[in-house]
Amino acid sequence: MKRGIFRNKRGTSGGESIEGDIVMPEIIFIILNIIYFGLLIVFVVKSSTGAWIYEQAYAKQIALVLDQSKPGMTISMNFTKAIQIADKNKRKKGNTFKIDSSKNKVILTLSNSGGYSYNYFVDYDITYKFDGNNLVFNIKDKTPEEKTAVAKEEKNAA
Amino acid sequence: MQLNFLRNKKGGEKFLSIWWFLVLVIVGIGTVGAVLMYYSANIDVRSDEAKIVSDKLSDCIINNGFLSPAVLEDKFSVLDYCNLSLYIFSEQQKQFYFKIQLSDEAGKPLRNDILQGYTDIQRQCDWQKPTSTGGAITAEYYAKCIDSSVEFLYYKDEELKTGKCEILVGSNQNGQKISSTGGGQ
Repeated sequence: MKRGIFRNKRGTSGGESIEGDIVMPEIIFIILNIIYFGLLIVFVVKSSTGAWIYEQAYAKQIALVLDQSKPGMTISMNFTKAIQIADKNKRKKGNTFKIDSSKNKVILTLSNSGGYSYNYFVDYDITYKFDGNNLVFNIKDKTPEEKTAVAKEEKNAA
Repeated sequence: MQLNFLRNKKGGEKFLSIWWFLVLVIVGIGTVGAVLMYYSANIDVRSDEAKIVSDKLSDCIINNGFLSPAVLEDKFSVLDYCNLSLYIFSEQQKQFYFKIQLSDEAGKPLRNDILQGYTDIQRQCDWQKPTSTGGAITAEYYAKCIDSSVEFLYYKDEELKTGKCEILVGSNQNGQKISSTGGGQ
C-alpha cells in the first residue's frame, strides 16, 4: 500500500525519478523541534510557578508582617497560592507552614524537596491557624514566666 | 574557483541543519540561563527590615513625643523594653545591629550609646556612607543600613527640654533554604 504523505510527489529532479523518496526525516525534524520547544516552554512555566519562589516570598512577607505587628493584633493573610502549589506537590495544607518560636523562625515548605525559613525579630507569643485559605496569626505579649524561660533558652542558643 | 557548498542543494540542507541545531542550542542555553538567573534571584527585604527595626525602636523609646524615663536608667535593657528577640539580635547570629544615641539640645550625650547586635555591621554601614575624600563602597553582601533621627521632649530637674535621638540600624539577614533532609544552606 502506498502512503502518499511520506513520499515526495514532486516527481523528478535532474531527470532522475525520485518518486519513491521518503520524506520521513523532515517529519522527524519537525517533531523533534516541536518536542524541543515544548520542553523549553514547560521548563519556563514550571520555573515561574515553582515552589521555591513562593516559599521565599511568603516566608519573607510573613516575617515582615510579624515584625510590624503589635500585641493584641489578629492578622489574616491570604494563603491561597501557597496552598495550590502545596496541593500540586501532594503536600497537606497543615504541613506547609510552621513557626519555630525558640529560634524566631517562620518555615515554609510547599514541596517535598525542602523549604525556606526566615527569621522575625519580635519577641511576642505568636500563634497561628488556618481559616479556609487564610492563615490567621494571633499576637500576644509573652507572660513574664514565658519571657524568663525564653530568655534563658535564647541565651543558651546564642 | 568552485564553490562546492553552493552546488549541491542536498549538501546545503545539511549545512542548514547544522546551523539550525546550533541555533537551537544557543536558544536553549539562553532561555534556561535567563530563567534560572531570574527566578533564583534573592528577594531582598533587608532595607525594609532595617526600617521596621528603626521605627520599632523609636516608637518604643519615645511615646507621644516624650522620651520614656526608663531609657535613661542604668539598668535599661532595650531588647526587653521593646520586645525584641535576644536570640536574633545576638552578636553570634550576625544578622542585625543597631545603635541609639541620645543627646540634649547642645549635642551632649544623655547616656551611653545603646548598642546591640553584630558590630561588624556598623563598619559596613560606615563604609557605605559617602565621605569627603571619596565615594561610598558598595557591595551586594554588605548589610543594608538606615539612619534616622527623631527629636523628643524630656524632663530634667522639672524643666522641659528637647533632645535628639539618632538611630542607626543595619540588617544583613538572608533566609535559609532548607533541604529535604532538614539541613539549611
